[in-house]
Amino acid sequence: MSKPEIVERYIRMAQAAGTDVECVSGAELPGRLAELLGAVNKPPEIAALAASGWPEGLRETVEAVLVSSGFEVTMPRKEQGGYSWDRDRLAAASVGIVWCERYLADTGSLVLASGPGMGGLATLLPEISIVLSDAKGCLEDLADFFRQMEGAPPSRITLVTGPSRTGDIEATMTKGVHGPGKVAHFLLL
Amino acid sequence: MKSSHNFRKASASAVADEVLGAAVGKTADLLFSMRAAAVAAYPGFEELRDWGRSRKMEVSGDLATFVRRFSDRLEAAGGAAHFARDAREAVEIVTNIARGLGAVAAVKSKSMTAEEISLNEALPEAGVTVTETDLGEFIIQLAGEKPSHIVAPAIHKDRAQVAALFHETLGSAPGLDVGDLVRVARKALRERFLAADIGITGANFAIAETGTIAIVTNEGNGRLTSALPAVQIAIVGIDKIIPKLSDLPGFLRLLTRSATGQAVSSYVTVITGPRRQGEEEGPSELHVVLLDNGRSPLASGPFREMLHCLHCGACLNSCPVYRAVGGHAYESVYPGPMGDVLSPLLWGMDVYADLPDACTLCGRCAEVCPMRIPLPEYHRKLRVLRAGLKGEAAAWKAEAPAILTQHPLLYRTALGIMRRVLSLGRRLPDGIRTGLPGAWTVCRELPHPREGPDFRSWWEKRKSCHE
Repeated sequence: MSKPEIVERYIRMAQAAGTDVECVSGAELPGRLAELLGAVNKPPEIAALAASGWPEGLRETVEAVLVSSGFEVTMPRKEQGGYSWDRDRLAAASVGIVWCERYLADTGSLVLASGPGMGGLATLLPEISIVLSDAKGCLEDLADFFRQMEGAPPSRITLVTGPSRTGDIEATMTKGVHGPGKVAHFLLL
Repeated sequence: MKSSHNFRKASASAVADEVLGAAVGKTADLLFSMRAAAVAAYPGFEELRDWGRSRKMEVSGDLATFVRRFSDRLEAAGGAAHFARDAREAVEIVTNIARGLGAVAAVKSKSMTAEEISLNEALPEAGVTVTETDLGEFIIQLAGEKPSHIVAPAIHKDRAQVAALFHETLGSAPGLDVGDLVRVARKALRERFLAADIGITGANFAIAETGTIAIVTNEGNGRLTSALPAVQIAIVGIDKIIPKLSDLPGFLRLLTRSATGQAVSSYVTVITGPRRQGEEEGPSELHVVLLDNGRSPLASGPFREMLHCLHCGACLNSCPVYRAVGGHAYESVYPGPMGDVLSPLLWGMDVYADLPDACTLCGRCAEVCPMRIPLPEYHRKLRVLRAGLKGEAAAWKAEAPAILTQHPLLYRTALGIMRRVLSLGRRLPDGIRTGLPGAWTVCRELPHPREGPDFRSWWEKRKSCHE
């Protein structure tokens, strides 16, 4: 399948930054996701899943794959006054999965905007972060994102470029210091 | 703040420390070459530096207005702005917030501004234990030391020293490699993150237009510190302000390339106020402490562009003096070229009288500075200023070379006299010849003028041959 040039550039930059990018069709996604989950985990484990932001029906698909792969799913719960995580279960999760609306070709960055139930912490606490997007989410750069933003900025915008890393001991690059050591980005094309 | 600092004395032991020299050299070299590669790969970088400088000139030209705009917009977004004239006020604000909350545990991501106000020493007195979460800062905290580089705080330690430290303080197995050491730190720090009442951060940028702060880290500790605890306190120097949100992409490009040679760091967190209705991530209270501590007066003085500093550390990595002595010899939060200038300006020329001399005027720092701050010129200006404090004669002596070079006839005459004196000096016995100029010849020789005519008269002769 052919990809727009801007998406090709995103893939190159994201891979250079250490993100694993994989292009899949909607039909292939459940199989590929199950493969990834099976390869990296020994269930039963917990997966943290964003509650909102997903395109119609996708969250349910992902949830079904997680359950059939032996994962317990934890999501931000909607209560009076808004969403909240079960902190203990979030902290125990080994995988986090969210939908990412926008990503940047210029630097290979994911753009995570805050909002009720968007589940940003699922991309930060677990060792493995899995992110899903579609082809139309690709923007040129951060300036482009700000230009398209309507009104005031959300309470937080996080750019994620590759895994968490440190060079603080003898400038030796080491992954997964506070955040995930692995970031997998599935592009639905 | 402290009694007068003696750089010559403090650096003498650092120069002799081989482990220190090797560790600092290795990291500084790597950061320097990574910056060079990243800049070479970005064709518009020189224009971007000019653009960045002009945006910062706009802010430093009207600093009070931009500070007010930032605090107004922050409060409109639901945050609380606090003004601190000096370090004492800033510490008071933070400890009062902590006491009001009944907080007992804080996590902190890297902030040189928090170092500047010695926040870590003050928080325990307010009943709050504070844990540094940047790996380098965590290492330094466990060792009971001070950071020695503004970007790579543990640059002076090698892996064996860190392994021994973790073994001693965290009970990990002895002799671990870097990957295992990082895993030990992750586990220890994760528990602290989850238990903390307060997250203390700095900010790399504060955006006046929207009251937004931006935090850049590779480890993700800045993101965790600002996302998990119920209350976030950001300590922000008023020099961190940039005008608009649309300026952020350009400044990020300049900062990350200059600091670590990356096109972008792993995490950039852009925060506008506390969490909003219905959201599950972020603090419910966001406090921003805007620290002046001697910055406002700089805006109207001859060192104005120091306010443009992005604290990227590129000048440290390029500086032959920093690389030889490491950060601790400067005995200041801010080491290296930017520190030589900033420390005397913030804490007084009487305290840091030596630092303007910790510079060979080689100019490498000015070449790499993303904001084009004229650091060598500022070093020289500080030397003149310092001489002025000693009296008129000393001030005239410091200005004399500048006066000479501006008056050709005077310069030629003085040069002729120098040539004669130096060639005369060559005939003197060794002891007297090297003894006379004092400190100048401790580690160098006096210049030897060559025999025969000087260049100028030689050239005059040649010129007439050609005509």
